[in-house]
Amino acid sequence: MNKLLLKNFTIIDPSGNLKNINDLLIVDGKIKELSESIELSDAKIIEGNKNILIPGLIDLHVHYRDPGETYKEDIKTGSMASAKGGFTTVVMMSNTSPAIDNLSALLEQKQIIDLYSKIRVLQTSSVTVGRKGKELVDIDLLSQNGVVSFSDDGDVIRDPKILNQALKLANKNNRTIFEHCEDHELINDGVISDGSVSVRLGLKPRSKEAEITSVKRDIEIAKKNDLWIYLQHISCKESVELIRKAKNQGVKITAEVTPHHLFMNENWTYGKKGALPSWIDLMSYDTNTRVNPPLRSENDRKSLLEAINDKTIDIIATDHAPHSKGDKLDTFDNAPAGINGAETALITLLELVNRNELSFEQIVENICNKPGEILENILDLKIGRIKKDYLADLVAIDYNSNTKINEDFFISKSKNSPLIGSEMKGKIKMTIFDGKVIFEDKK
Amino acid sequence: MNYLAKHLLDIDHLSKDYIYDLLNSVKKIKNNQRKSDLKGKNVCALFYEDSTRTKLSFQKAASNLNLNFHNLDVQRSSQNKGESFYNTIKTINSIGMDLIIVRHFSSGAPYFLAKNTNSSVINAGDGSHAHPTQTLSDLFTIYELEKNFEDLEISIVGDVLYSRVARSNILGFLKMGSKINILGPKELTPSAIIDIYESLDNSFKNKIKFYEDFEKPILNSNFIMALRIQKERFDSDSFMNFHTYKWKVDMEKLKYFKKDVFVMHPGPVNEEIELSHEIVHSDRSLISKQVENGVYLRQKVIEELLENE
Repeated sequence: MNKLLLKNFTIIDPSGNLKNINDLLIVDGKIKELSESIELSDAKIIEGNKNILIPGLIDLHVHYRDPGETYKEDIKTGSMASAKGGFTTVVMMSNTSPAIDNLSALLEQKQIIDLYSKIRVLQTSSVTVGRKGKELVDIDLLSQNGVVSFSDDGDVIRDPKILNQALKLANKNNRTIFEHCEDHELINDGVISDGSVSVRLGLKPRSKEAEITSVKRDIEIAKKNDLWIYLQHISCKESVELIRKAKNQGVKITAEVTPHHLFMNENWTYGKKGALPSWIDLMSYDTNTRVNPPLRSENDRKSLLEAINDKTIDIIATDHAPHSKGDKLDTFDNAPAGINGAETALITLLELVNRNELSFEQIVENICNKPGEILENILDLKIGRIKKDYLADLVAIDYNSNTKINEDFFISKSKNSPLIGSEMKGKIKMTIFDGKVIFEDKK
Repeated sequence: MNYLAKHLLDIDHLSKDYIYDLLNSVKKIKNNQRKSDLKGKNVCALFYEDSTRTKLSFQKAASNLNLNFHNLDVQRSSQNKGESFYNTIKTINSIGMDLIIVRHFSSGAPYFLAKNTNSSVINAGDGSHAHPTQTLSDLFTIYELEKNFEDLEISIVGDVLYSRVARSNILGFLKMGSKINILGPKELTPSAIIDIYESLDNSFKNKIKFYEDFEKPILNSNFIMALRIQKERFDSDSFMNFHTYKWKVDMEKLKYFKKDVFVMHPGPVNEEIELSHEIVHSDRSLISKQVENGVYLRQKVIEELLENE
């Protein structure tokens, strides 16, 4: 028997009653015992020094660029970056090159995952063949072979009939569609939220209406046939309001938000960490802030935090989107969209706790408990909770230290983060996956 | 700021006092009272968009300063072989230029260039963002008429949303203390402009007003600055119809304005859309003055950037 004893931690998991619990015993990769104090002579002991212990994070939205663009990231470096960020389970999107849209591609991908991943890496399939929006993939077959769900992420599913049919088939398999909500026509090649920053910088606006329109349509489709839909990276107030109303009416929606939309607003495009410049300088047009959907106004950001508070939003996921230095070295409108988020997600959320905009419990609920619940339903995985018989995926956090984010901080192949140059509250000390320490900050 | 520093990317960092100094120097150049010689220095024009007046104007200015003017024909450059903008910048940097004059269809491109080169950079127009030498030259054209900027009301007419000239000129006139009326189709005159500019400086408060038609308050303007309507947009945006564009300034409309009102346009003009042919070539038009003064202003700007080196 392999025993690991974690002693003297402050354990946070709102899904269970863990008052006065400081010690946790792991046996053969599973949580065996939780108690105020456990004394054992035959276990390896990790001393917590009152550090915080939460369940291993679950990221329902990553892009590891593998296969096809492995100069940006691959399954090995991506999973290492996620592990460093406190994640023990991730779900990869299928917009690779080629897209994962058939059984042989899925099986091949599984072999690569087995060989190279450091954590639990799960795969989505695209909804339509080649992500072209025309022909459905074999949803039954791919579900039987372990895909988590289906997504054409990067693009909305334009044809409502196809979305409706896909939802029916996916739901029948206890799965759903992860939908990228931005109406294709209304995006109109825009690159930044439509607001004062787009006007000042003369950048083409990517209309909020694009998101609102497709959120509205998707809610209607889900409502009409009582189907479960998952809406990715919600970014604005109006979408939040639509989802809130629909949920109150009993529509089955899971809504996701990213740490970058919770933490940053459109002013970050000026390259001054959210401050407004009196004149535009060379830091401006920061291509690392370019992301789809775009960073929105401060008002929108606040509405996303409120939506977490009243449970309109269920999931925080990174949309980890690595792009190489060369890719981002371009004009703002020509640089690819995406923010590197695996390693910074938890740190930014801890900084939001520091600023009294979120609580520890909300972080755990939205990035451990709820995604864990979804994966438990789909794949019968016992993850996302600190509870007896659950898998021993855990993260230790030193909330009294700070993390400095500079280029050297990243182990991801890419470093495309607007947070470079920031210092934030909290430090990820250790990530335990399957009962084994897979990341440790020894500094 | 009281100097141009290394680059001229927009006018937002320039103080009113500095702009006055600059305009006075341009006056001296125009009156042949001073002449610089920058022989041996190298200037490169890097134009990713078409241009008649701006490029020729810079070329003439460079020639007046005895500069070596190198024109990179972007349409026939390695861009067509797939070279990235960054690598083109690095290539020019290795060849070695004292100054790069750039026009680019992407807003912010001159900032990207300035960040990645050792040369000085002048923005000759970037996307919908800025066109600083046009603005400074327009300010000079008004200054030359011995007008006091603080007494002036300027009406900017047309496509403000997509116009780089509008963005820089609004800021320029605000800095000099003038009042601004913005007139045009609602879709092309975003009210966010008020929030943006008012937040920059307290003295800009209540200086910008919006109008949808040639209403009475506008008729008091001292200057009408018409902007080019981008024909290409008429096809893609259904709210605009080329034939029903109602903001054309012609002799008939001009009658309602003050007698001494002047009409300006950054060019190129779509005649009979923004301005009638008659107006363009009338004695109320400053358009040829604007072009003429552009050379002197650019001469001054180049001189200052290269002498600061």
